[in-house]
Order: sequence, then C-alpha cells, then structure tokens
Amino acid sequence: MLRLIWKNAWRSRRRTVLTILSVAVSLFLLSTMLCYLSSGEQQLESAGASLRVVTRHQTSLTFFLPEAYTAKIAAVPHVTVVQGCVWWGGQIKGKEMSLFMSTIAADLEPTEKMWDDYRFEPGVLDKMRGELRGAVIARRALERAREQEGWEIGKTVTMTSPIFKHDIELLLLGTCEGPDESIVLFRRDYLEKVRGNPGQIGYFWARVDKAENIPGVCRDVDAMFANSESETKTETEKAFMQSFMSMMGNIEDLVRNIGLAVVAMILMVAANTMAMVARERTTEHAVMRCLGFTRGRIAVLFISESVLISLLGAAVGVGGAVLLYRPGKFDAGGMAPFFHMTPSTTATGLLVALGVGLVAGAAPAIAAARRSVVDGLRRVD
Amino acid sequence: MGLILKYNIRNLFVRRVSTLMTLAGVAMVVAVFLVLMALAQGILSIGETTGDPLQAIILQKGTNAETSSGIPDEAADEAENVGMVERDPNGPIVARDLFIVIMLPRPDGGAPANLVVRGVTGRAFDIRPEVKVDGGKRPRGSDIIVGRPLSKRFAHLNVGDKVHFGKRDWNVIGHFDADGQAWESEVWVDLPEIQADANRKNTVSSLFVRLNRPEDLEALNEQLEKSANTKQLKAMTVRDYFKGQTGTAQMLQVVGGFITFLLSLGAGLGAMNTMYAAVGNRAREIGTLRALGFGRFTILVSFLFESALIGLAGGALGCLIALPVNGLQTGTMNWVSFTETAFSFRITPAMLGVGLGIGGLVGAVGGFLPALAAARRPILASLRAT
Amino acid sequence: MSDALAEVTGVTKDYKRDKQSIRVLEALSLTIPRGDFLALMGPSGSGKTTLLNLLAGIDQPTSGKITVDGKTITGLGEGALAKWRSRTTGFIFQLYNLIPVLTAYENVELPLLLTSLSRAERRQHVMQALDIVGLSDRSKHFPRQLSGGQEQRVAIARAIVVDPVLLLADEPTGDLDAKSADEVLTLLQRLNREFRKTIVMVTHDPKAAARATRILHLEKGQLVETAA
Ligand SMILES: Nc1ncnc2c1ncn2[C@@H]1O[C@H](COP(=O)(O)OP(=O)(O)OP(=O)(O)O)[C@@H](O)[C@H]1O
Ligand SMILES: [Mg+2]
Repeated sequence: MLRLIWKNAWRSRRRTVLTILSVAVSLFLLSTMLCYLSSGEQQLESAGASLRVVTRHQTSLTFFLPEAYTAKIAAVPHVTVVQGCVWWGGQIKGKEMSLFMSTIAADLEPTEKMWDDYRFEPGVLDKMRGELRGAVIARRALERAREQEGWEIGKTVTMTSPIFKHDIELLLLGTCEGPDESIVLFRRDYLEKVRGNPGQIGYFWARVDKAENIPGVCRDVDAMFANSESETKTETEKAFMQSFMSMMGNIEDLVRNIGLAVVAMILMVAANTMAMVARERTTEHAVMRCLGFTRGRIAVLFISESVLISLLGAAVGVGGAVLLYRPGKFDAGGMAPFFHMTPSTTATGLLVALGVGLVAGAAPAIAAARRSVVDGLRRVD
Repeated sequence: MGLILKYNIRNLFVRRVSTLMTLAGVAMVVAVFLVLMALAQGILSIGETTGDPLQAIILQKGTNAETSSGIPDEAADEAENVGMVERDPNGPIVARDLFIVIMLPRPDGGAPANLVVRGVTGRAFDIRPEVKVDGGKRPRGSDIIVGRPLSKRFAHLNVGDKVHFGKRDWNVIGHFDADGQAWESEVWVDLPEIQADANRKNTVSSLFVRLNRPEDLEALNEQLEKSANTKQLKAMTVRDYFKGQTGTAQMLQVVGGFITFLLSLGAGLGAMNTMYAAVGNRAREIGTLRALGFGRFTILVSFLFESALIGLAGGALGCLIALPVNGLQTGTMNWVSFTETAFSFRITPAMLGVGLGIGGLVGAVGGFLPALAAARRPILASLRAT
Repeated sequence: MSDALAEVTGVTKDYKRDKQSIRVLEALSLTIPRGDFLALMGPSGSGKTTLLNLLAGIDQPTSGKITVDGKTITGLGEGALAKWRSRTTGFIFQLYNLIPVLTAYENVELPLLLTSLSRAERRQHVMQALDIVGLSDRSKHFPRQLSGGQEQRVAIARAIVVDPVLLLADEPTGDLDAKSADEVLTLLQRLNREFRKTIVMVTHDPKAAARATRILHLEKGQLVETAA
C-alpha cells in the first residue's frame, strides 16, 4: 500500500518535484512569519518571568526624572537594587542608518545584580570602573559591527544619538551575552559629564525581591511621587515591552493575514496538481474499481498521495527554516533576539502542510468516487 | 497571429479549473505585494505631502528631530525677524511649536503608546491652512483639539472627553483634518499652557516658516549663523524633515520585496506545473501546427502568451482583492520621535500597474520552460503523442 | 521543368532507438509525376508514414535527396522548411488533428495566417475550401460538433486552402466508417482530377487504394509497383 502511494507520487517526477518545491518555498516563508510572531511572544514571556520593574515619567519616556529618585526608590520595601538609565539610542557617527544598537547609559554599580540574565565577560565590569568612557557590547552586536565597521574590543568608537545633540566616544572594553543581543552599555556618569551634569534619568530599573511583591512596589513607588513635580509610572518589564510592541502598530495582524494568503496559495498549487493527477487517472481508477477496489480505498490512496507530496514540501521548507533559524544563529540583525523555530512553530508548519494535503486531495477524490465505473472507462481522452 | 492567441485564450477556458487555481495563486502574491506596498506608500505619502515645498522648519543644531530640539525665546524672537519669510500685516508668519511626547492607553484597553502633543499659537494655523478644525475651534486654556484619526487609536480622544496627561485633565473640544499630513497624528494644545505644564517655559522645539523663494533656505541659514543667539539654529525644508522620518516605509518595502519574491517563486512553480500539463496535453495540436508550417518561435510565443495571460488575470484579481484596503486607517511607529503616526493604506495606479506586471511576469517566467519544451519538441514526437 | 513533381533519390532512413539503429528505408528512389494520385500500401511498420513525413518535410532522411516542385528540401534549415511546408504541401492525418478549440472555419484559416493575405482574402479562400469539401454550412461548428467524416473533410479543406501542389494523406480513411470513407475518397479523387492536385495517400485498405491512379507497395524499405 505505502509502496503504491510512493510509486504513484513519482509517476510524473517533474510535476511532483515542482509541486514540492512550490510548497516548500511558501512554507519556508510561512515559517519565517511564524518565527516573527513567536519571537514577540517569547520576548514577552521571558519578560514576564522577570523580577524587574520600570519607573518612568508619568507623561512619557521623553521626560526625565531627577537623579534623586534613585535613593527614594531604593528605600521602598522589597526593592533590592535600583539602576538609573538613559536611552541614548546610539548610531554610528556618519552611518546613522547602518546598524541598530540599543545603546544605554546606566549606573555601573547595580549592573551585575540587576541583569542576572546576562553573562558579562569576566572582569569587564571591573575594567569599566576604571574607565569613564568604557562600554560593554553584546557579543552579537560586536560581530556585526566588526563585519561592517571593523569594531574591535579595545577600540574607541564615536556614536551619535537621535535624542541628544552631543556625540560620545566609547572605549569598547568587553562583551556580554543575554536576551537583547543588540545592546551597548556605557556609564551614566560619562553621559552626565558630557551633558553638563543635569542630573537627569530617563527611567529606573528596580529589582523586587519576590514576584508577589511586584504590584505592591509599583503602587508604592508611584504613590510616593504623586503630586510631585515629576510624577511616575511604574510597571512590569512585560508591560513596558508591550507598550513598545503596541506602538509598532497592527503588524502582527498584518503578518497573520499575509500568512493566510500564503496558505491559500499553497493550497491552490497543491490542489491544482492533484486535480491534474485525478484527470489523468480517471480511466485507471475505473479499472481499479473493476478489479474490486472500493471507492473509499481509492480515495484513501489518492489523498495519501496528496498528503505525502505536501509533507515532502514541508520537509524541505519547514526543515530549511529549522536549519536556518536556529537559536542564537539568526536574529534579524539583533532586532529580533528570539527569532528562531520553536517546536510549536515547526508543528504549525507541518500541520498546515497536512491540512493542505488533505484538502487538496479530497476534492478530486470525492469527484472521482462519485463517477460511475462506466463513465470513468469511457473517458479515455 | 490573432487566431493563434484566440487558440490560447480558448484553451484557458477549456481547462478552467487548472487556470483558475493557478490564477488564484498568482492573485495571492499580487494582493500581498499590494497590501504591503500600500502600507509603505501610506507612510511615504506623509513625507511627500506634509507642508509645502516652501515651508521650512528651524531646529536646534545637532538634532534631527523636534523631540530633542530646544529653542530659547530670545533665539526664537531673533530668528523671527531675520527676514526672507512670508509676512502678513501682523508681521512675519512664524509658528512657534513645542513638541511633547505623551503616552495614552488604547481604546480597547491595550498597552499604551506614545503620541505627539504640539503646543501651538494662532500662527500654527496661519502657516498650515490645510488644518481644518471642526467648527473652526482653537485650543485655549485646557481646551485641546485632536487629529481625527487619533480618536480611533487612543482612548479619551473623542469630542467631549476629558483626557489626563502632564499634570492635569484636558477637554477635547474638536477634531481636525489635515489632508493626510503629519499633523493629523497630533494633539494640539495652547502653547503657554503646555509650556507651563511640561516645565518648558520660555522654550519651544521648533519654528515653522514659509520661505519667499526656495533659494532663500541657504540665505536664511546664513542669516541665522550671523548672530550669537541664532547660531545654534538651522533651517531645513519641512518636506526633507518629514521624509527623513519614513524609515519604516523603506523597511516595509524591503520586507515586502522579500515576501513577494518568495511567493512569486511558489506561484511561478505552480504556473510551471500548469503549463507543462497544458503543453503535454496538447502535444498533438502543437505537432499539427508545426506540420502546417508554424515555426518554433510562434509556438514559444503562443504558450508564453497563454501563461502570461493567466498571470495577468491573476494580477488583476490580486488588485481587486487588495483595493479595499486603500484608505484604511492604521498607525505605525515613527522611529525618530518614537511616537505613533496615523496614516492610511494608499494604493496608487502605478502600484496597480506594478502588481499586474508582477502577475504577468510570474506567469511568463513560470511558463517559459514549458513553452520552450513545446517549441523544441520534434514535430514527429509531438504528432505521435497520444 | 521536368514532368516529375517529386523526386526521391537514394533515400535511406535510420532510427536510433537507445544505442541500436534500425533502418526503415534503404536506398529508396521514387518519382512522383505531376497530377499523380499515388496510393502507398504495405504491412505495418514498413515505413509508409516515414516516407510520407519525409515528403512533407517534417522529417529528414539519413542520406539521399528529396526534391519537390523543383526545390531540394533535404538539408534545409528549420525555418526555411517550415515556410516551405506552409506553401507547398497539405497534410491530412488519420486522426484529423483539428484544433478542438477552433471552429471549422478557424481551423481552415490557420495555414493562411502564414501568408500575407488580407482578412477578406483569407475569408474568400476559407469559404472556397469549405465549399469544395461541402461543409460551408458548418463553418461555425467546433470539431466535437462534427462527425468523423466531416472532421476529416474539414482537415482536407485545411490542407488545400493554401493551394499546395502536393497533398499528403496518412491513412485518411483509417478511422472512418465505409460511407464516410467513401465520401473522403471521392473528394480526394475530385481534387486530383478537377484541381490537378498531386496526392500521395498511405492506406491499408485495397478499396481505398483502388481509387488512386497508381499503387506502390512498400516492403522492408523497398518499393514494389503494382498497376492500379
Ligand atoms: N521516431 C521513431 N523512432 C524510432 N523508430 C521509429 C520512429 N518512427 C518510426 N519508427 C520505426 O520505423 C518503422 C516504420 O514506421 P512507420 O510509422 O513508417 O510504419 P508504417 O508503415 O507507417 O506502419 P503503420 O502501417 O503501422 O502505420 C517502425 O518499425 C517504427 O517502429
Ligand atoms: Mg503509419
């Protein structure tokens, strides 16, 4: 039985190969889009487990908070460590659009405790203590910048900001590895010095001792600054991230709709192939019925062939995506740190192929089953 | 040749199912392409239509966005009088704007997003006649006006709503349109009120002027250089300024190109299948035509035409599928100001042309090898085929 | 110009199948006079169709020379041969080979597209050809709406519409019932007598062959003449 299905599938080798390739290319695209969707979800998920909360100006991130808030937030019960940060949004001087790097000025001392999900190169944070302009760069970001700009550890690089009018010069001291692979971290006191000591902070990270204390800390911090000159908004890392994603617009819906169009296209190609096969085998199916094969059995044979072809397409397309989008190998230039195939995206791709195979095979199979033996035998042309 | 083409067209109808399925596949490609490009075009058109070629924006040097620009009143007063800009009986028409980013929740309670609040004086309306407020209202005190598309994208921005940002509640007294220009994504507030609220007294972010002639931009910059107060300022055209903020569109075009390419490949392979079958089923007809004296080239062209026609029809269907998104409102992040820009999908006739072209190309490329096979097959082999 | 319309001189035809080569025609020579109606008979596989294809210029001999109407067609290039075919020969197939999606009229018009005739001139020629085969009232019908005999007559109209000097028919009655076959043969005869067309017809049917002016037997690649 299986042998027969396999042999049938390869009777028109060229057509089968073309169909498999077509399904493969489209499923590869679909997998890519699924990766995009799941990378967003995973990012949120990983943020969901975090014990960090963010405190920003109540109006928006573009308003600064006073440096003095550092100690006040640290004094809130259950807060273990506080770090003041400023988003620099670094771009390489003269090549503003070339590389995306999230360059952040941060208080140096709390770094290690705050970012326990990052692995810093041993000794690099100590080196930063001795070097005002020192910076640590994500390993992947360095790799890309090395390729494009020849960056190396030990080099001094000039960066500009879309927000601040000064340029900064950073001395690359070492690397780190963690969820955000586009990060460049430098000392906030250096930025303060460059800006003439305004004592301003963009946002605070605060670490809470236990997950159940997070809502309380958020409330307490905001209550403390209510009705002050600079009111605050404190939220979880996940909520903070969600608002960034929300600003990207309805991209996820768009991606989903395009995904549907892709599935429709795969279905058209596969169904067309199976309709052609059915037409060619009309007589043969009638002959098989004469030999005693039931309608059902012939339909099963036919649909199995269809499923086999789509699954072979999936093996190439989804398989290719699994090989290409391996964890840590592919991150869309640092912008999508979780861009890789997960078991669930792989399964989705395979399920789509299975569904396409079933539907593509079913319509001609049903039509064939309805046809009488005599009719089938007559249609020799 | 007309008869041969008729021959091809009629054959498309004979194998309707196969034609329709191939055509629908191509339609998907073209529809996806158009939707993505309509999105990009929507963003691009903000940059292309905002302001007019004579409008210029004056910002603090070293910044490329209003977000990070600060112009003290003394500098603004002086810049206002350097000349070369349009005037009316009340003096030079110079709009002093304060650009503030606030965060508001979504109407459906989703995660909040950033948007622009622009502090404006009456001059803002003089220089931007395209801004039309319902009932001609002006922001004053805690009364504010809101770009119409924003009311659907953020909570509390309907007329009559009270919205809280900064240190107090504001009343939404009207919506405004601006011919699809960037202003439609903004909330406009009385300048002194927002200066006080945001602790930005005696500063603005930008000055908007209209030059007398395009060449005056250089002269204006030279004038600004001359005084210590205005040395820190620079002018550029409003068009250039907003064009610099359409990076998302370029990204969309690249991504759209990638998606379209892969999909075209998939659809092209499908078309190839269809055409190989067509060429195979009609081998004897091809042999007959050749025996009658039709050359290989005619056969090649005829089948290429047939396949391109499927593609073109698919392209046309794709255009029809995509057309309804034209004018649909949506929003995206402006990567310079980190605020949301509201815009609408925009499908231009040129894009439809390109869509049709892609359809035709997918058909022609997919049909090329089969057509070549048909043309190259020896006459006798074709005639013998069953 | 000699009296011979077609001259086949020392033609040998080999077919290569896999590595092995089969000789179908061996040093065959044949003269077909102008106005001849030649019936070609012989057992299956003897090379009748092969010879006809060579005369029609849709196949090339391995060696030897074929001249039709003063023009040597052996060794002609692809394009030149196609052009020559469209002017000089009319081919009638056993299975008619009409284009199913074209009407009788359009099928007959097809070869005229290769000429520089105007639309009106083409119309005149087509109607004339259909008239000769007695099917002017069926011009708008599609092949599937015609009987086998009618289809073959449309095919004959298509073959004569460019007014070729040589008509080649491969078992034109092979798929027809006796009555239709008779009509087709009568038509061919008329074309030969009235319109002075030179015809070469392959057939297995002695009754069909009897309608010709000359019968040739092809056996093992060689010709044997029999009086008609
Ligand atoms: N393209 C080809 N390749 C290989 N062998 C061929 C080819 N065409 C013809 N032959 C062989 O040449 C021989 C003569 O074929 P041909 O078709 O001329 O015979 P025929 O006399 O027309 O027979 P029939 O009466 O059955 O039509 C046969 O043995 C056939 O197998
Ligand atoms: Mg034969």
